[in-house]
Amino acid sequence: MNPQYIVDAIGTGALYSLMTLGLALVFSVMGLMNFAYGQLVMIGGFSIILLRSQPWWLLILGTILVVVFFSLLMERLAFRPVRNATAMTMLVTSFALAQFLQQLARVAFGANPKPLEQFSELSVQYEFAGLIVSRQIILTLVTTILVLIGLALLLRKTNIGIQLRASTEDVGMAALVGIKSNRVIAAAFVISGTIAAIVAILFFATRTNVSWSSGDSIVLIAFVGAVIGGLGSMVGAALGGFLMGFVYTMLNALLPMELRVFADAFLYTLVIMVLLIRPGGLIAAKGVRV
Amino acid sequence: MSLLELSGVRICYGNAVAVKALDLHVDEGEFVALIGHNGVGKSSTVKAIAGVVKPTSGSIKFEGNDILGQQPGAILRRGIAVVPEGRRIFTRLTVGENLTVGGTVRSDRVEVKKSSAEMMARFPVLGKYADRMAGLLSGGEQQQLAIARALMSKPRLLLLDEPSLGLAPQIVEQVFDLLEELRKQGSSILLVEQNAAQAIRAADRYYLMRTGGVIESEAAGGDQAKADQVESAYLHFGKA
Repeated sequence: MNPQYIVDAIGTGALYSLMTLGLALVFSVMGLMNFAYGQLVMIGGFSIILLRSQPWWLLILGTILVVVFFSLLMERLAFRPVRNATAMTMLVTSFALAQFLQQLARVAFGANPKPLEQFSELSVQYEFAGLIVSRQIILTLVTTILVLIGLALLLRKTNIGIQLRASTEDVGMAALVGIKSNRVIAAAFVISGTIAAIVAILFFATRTNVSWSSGDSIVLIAFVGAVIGGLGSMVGAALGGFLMGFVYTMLNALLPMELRVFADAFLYTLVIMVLLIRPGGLIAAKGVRV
Repeated sequence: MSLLELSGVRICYGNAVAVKALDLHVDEGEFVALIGHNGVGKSSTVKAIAGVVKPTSGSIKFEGNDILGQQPGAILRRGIAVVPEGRRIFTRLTVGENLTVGGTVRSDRVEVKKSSAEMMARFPVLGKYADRMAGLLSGGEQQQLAIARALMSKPRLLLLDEPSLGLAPQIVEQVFDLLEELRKQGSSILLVEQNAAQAIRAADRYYLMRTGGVIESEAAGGDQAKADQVESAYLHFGKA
């Protein structure tokens, strides 16, 4: 097997693990599977188009601010009113919101995909021990590692992080010790929005266009990654997302040419097999059922 | 004026009445026990005081202020801390983090750190396992952590719901010794217990509840004979 495949698979796995983390964080705190999460990445994509002519730091900062703003708006206007409703109500709300944001993007930017000027500086390639590694893969890996370290430090070393973890375990008891649920949930949406913006930057860096439906595949990957990793577990989510990206890339590389069109089918067959063996996911959190 | 005063409190879950009309009070520095069998409405009373459930009628006053219908966080800020049934410590947080979370309502973080160190000195086992995940502690150690976590908010009244539940008799003794020590230090305590004899022995006063209301209220004050007498009658009620 060509080791180059492994390098590419690690790059994709790292990006998918980031996608999954943003979705899993909100699920852990309020039991909400936010299917509008993919639309946050799509909004990030359109922000990149609008800010493409700006310096890189302004493009990154602007994209994060826009996506976090929409993430907070989502929480305040759509999810807070149904917070105490059933999980099914919250799920339907997230589907409705996803549709609304898609149609809003369609009206604002048109039905046809918007071309995105390539980031040529990211396609620069380096050679290490016979392996070709693009700047984009290095950037994705470094960013993913930094986000994981940052998230771990935030959750372990700051008061809001400890409160977030307490709320993910027992939201009722968290209220009894005086943790303000509005504050903690808003913090989760800020972190989730920031991760969605970073995903958007890394994801669209290799794409030639952004469309109103760009978020669909992302949310599917994030959802399945979170499920096989173990809902409610951050480590599980990161691992599940990584495995999704890694296995998908390897399937595309190793399957015979005539079978590659069925790579998705092979991937989801593997997902079903994992769930049959471990219904709670690879690292199942207590009290969460898939 | 009593520290805590419940008058005519009625708690319903839909059409089911959990508490009919409860009158109860706790004075400053007093240790009061609320005893009764499973299902008589003791835990519902705790939840109503803590703001988890809203009574359908009656009043709950703390230091003369009406707290009925307020959110749990607001009630904690007024000075009522809860040690819930089943302990409900945060098992995936370390012992030290559980204590930090207990001090959430206090604004001075330096003071919270100081209090955390004090708790670890007061409960040596918590100091010993400060960096260990709380879920790895034994039942008795978890109960100590639940009490220490509640004390982190510097409450005026400590509300304990069945602290002896699920613990070995020897550990139960330790928990009651701890409550006795807190009482001696001037803490106001409302203890909800099924373990009637032990609760009466430890408390200054007790209320005996049966099917949604108080049927007896008397001074206890470590009276062993009284504790045995009530327990005997209480067991008789249980069989009725």
